[in-house]
Amino acid sequence: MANDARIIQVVLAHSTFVKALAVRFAPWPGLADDIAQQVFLEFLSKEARWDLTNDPKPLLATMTRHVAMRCWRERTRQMPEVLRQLAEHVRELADQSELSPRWEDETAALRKCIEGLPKKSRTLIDLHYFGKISTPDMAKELSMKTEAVRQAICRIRSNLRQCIESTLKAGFYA
Amino acid sequence: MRDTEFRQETDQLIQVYVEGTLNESEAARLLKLLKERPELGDQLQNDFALDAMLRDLSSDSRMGTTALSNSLSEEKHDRVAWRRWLALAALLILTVTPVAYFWSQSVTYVASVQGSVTVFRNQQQFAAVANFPLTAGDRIQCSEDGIAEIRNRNEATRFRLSRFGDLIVNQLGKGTCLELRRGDLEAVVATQRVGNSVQVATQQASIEVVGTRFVTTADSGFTRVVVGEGSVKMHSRLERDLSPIEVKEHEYAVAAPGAVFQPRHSADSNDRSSVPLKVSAKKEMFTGFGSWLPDGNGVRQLEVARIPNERSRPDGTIDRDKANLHSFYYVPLATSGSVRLRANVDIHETTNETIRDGELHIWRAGLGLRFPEHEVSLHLHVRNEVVQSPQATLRTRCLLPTWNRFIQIPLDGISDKKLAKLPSNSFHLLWEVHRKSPTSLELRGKIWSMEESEPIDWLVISYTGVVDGPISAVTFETFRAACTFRDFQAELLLQ
Repeated sequence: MANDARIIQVVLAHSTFVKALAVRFAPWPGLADDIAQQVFLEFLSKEARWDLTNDPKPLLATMTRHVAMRCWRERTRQMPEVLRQLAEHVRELADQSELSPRWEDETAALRKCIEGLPKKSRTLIDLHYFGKISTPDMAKELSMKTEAVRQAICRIRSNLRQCIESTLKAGFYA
Repeated sequence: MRDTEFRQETDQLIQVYVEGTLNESEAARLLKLLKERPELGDQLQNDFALDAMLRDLSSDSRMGTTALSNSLSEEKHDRVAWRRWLALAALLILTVTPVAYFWSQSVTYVASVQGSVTVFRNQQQFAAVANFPLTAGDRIQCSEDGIAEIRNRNEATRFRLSRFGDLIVNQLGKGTCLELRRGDLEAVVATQRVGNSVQVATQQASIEVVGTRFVTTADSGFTRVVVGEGSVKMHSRLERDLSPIEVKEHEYAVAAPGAVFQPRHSADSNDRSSVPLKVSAKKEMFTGFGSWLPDGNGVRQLEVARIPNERSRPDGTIDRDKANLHSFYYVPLATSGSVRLRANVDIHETTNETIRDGELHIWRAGLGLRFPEHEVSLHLHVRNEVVQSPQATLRTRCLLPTWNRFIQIPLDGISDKKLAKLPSNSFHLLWEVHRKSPTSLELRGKIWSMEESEPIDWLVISYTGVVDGPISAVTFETFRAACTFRDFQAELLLQ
């Protein structure tokens, strides 16, 4: 029971960490969720092997890297050449950059920043991310061009990024 | 104009990329732009990461969806691997259902631990580890170097408990109530939903907050709140009549017996190390034998203590046993914390009456602190007009004002070398009492004459014993001398 408790704690507490790594190792839409699920499946299936008294992050990081490489190979193999080239280029860029060590903090700051968005921007974010509505469908509902919706969402993300950075710069603790 | 068009095109392509609906011509164009404009790569990565964060937030969000969203189909690229999720769910249900239920009820947890941190729950104790879930009623204790970071999974609120921290979690969920018994608690409180708040209670105060950043330090003697952002409402639990105060950004306030309860500016961190205590020599007076008169921010002793109505001999002397008397003047001061006392002492009369009895001419003057059953004091000690090493004395009380035990406390770091004659009849007295634990004290003192500059070194006295409770008074005391204690100040030390 005690080990079960630790397992569930690890899974729940590290889902964001694993997702962040997956986004970096496999920067292609829709892959991060698959990778995170696979990592935790493998983690649970081998639970008896793990010493859960230690910090599980190094273990999860290694597992995520392996799973991400596997998923990446499978996904890019099916892609048309030009898409594959783009995917590899983006992955190289991601490899060169450092993973933000503050993903959890950034997520926390993001919640705060979303609350501070102007009403119109908030509506777009709500519809697209929380309502899971595609940009063409949003355009129809809002009587806008799809391109305009896409550009607007991109600009809102840019504003959110600035807000997150200024929030984190201010620091969490006095 | 070109920049605008370029921006629109890149925004469009990046959005299509993160949506996963990129066609081949768009992919070729984006690849070309990425190679030509390397800075675009940073934007793409940032957007991609932020998009992932937003999708992550939405997946476990309690923010709800709009009515409009319900009427529309799910987005194409939201690919959920249902089979894997089902397998994962099955594994979780089989192995950890009770814990999962427990976790779902408890969204607050110890996120990280440094040093030794213990959680007490239902008369059991656990060594806290990262991701340890907390429930109402838990008590968390840190060692001197222990640090526990406490987070809530559903919001950005977080706490950091340190420095012998002792925290009781009274309530979680809708409205968080924490009781800080001791130590430092740093808090970042996310904006709370309507009707929710975070409350931190200590022995001396309660702090109510709906979204801010602040640090609370609690000890048995005081509570200090330093606000880094926003504001908190602070209620004193010491005096019912006191109205709550609002402590704003870059301000701090201290709740302690005897301290003025008001916000202070905290631009200089040194300002936070002490606060003046409200003490007044005029408030109340206790005397042994002797006659004292409040005088400004101090007290004046009218003459050397002697038994009342005892007449001097014709030559002005009196018997030793009738002059060999201590005299005490008490100023009430209630605190369980560490204190610093200052006074300037003028000696305006010492008695030589007992020389005739063969007794050396000895007199003393000093400051003491009264605990329930003990009193400690630091004296200037003069013998035959030569200043001796200062003396510290511990007395055990029997019945006031009689003391049944006098213990000379050894002073570390004090030279036995006798000092020269007192250059003047005035000297400074500085006395600090640091509480190390409920039963141990470190006493530090300085005595120097008016003509000297303040010595750098302290006379350090460590004393471990039954110091059984709060300080209840400061004592001005003399022995065969009459003094005026001027410019008396008392401060509560906050570190």
